[in-house]
Amino acid sequence: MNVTAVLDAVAGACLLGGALLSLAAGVGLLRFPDLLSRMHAATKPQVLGLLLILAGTAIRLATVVDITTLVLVGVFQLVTAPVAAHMVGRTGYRAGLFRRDLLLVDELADARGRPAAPAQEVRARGASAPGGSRTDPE
Amino acid sequence: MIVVAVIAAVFLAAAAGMALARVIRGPSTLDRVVATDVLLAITVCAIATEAAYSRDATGLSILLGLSLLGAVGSVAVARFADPAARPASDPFPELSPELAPAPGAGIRLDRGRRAGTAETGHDEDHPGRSEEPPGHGENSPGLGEESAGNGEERPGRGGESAGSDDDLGAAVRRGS
Repeated sequence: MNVTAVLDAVAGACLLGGALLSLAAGVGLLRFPDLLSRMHAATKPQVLGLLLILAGTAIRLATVVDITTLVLVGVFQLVTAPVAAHMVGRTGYRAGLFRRDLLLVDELADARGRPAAPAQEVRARGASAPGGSRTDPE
Repeated sequence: MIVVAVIAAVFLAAAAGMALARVIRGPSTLDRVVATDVLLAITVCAIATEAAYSRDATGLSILLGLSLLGAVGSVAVARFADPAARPASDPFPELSPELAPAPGAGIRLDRGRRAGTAETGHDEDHPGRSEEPPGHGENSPGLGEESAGNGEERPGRGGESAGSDDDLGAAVRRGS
């Protein structure tokens, strides 16, 4: 059993693990009851599954240029996936697209009935973060 | 290796099918956004698996583009679907009725929001005004008294700034 066979076995294990995580995400997307739990399932192939498959591909290809490209793909995915998840989760919470009975802790619950902040303060905060976290309670 | 490739392909195809089913069924727009993200991630996984199986690096540049731009779509849709980011009178409420804020649900900052949009974004408010005939009808006496208040400034203004001024007045009246 030479080195190539061992590396191929490791790469195959990585690829199978990533594919299995993708399958789990598919099942979770179908079966989970509301938006937030579906987002939980959605992170599996986006981060760990993708990184496993990229690792397997890097082991199989094993040239410097390709491994650099794969590292870049992983880094970009790690940077962009939380941004999208943050926006989707924030919008989903505001629109009430979740089941309250499934939440163990709702840390924003006291902010939902709070009266609106004065317009002056909102404008001042909006200038520092346009379109961003002006309604996020601290 | 071909056994691994076939098993991985079956897993990925099943996962893509289930994500597609969620895209079709998903009750709200954001469910579809999440499912589309997953579908994109599965696509990236599939292309990488193909590259690993055939030891061919041609597809890796596609992965680079996908991973860079994959989040743009979902961020844009989530930003646009944000009920607090839209004008209080949604021009197309029938497109996403589930995103209409339920009474008491969601964090509403209508006063500051509308005042801010009336100050900075003029064009956002125009479809909203045409969409809401009863509100517009209420506004008419308000507009009359406002134009009576600063009647000498009226001819100097453009139509757009007059419209946004009207909205700002309406928002303040509604809020107070």
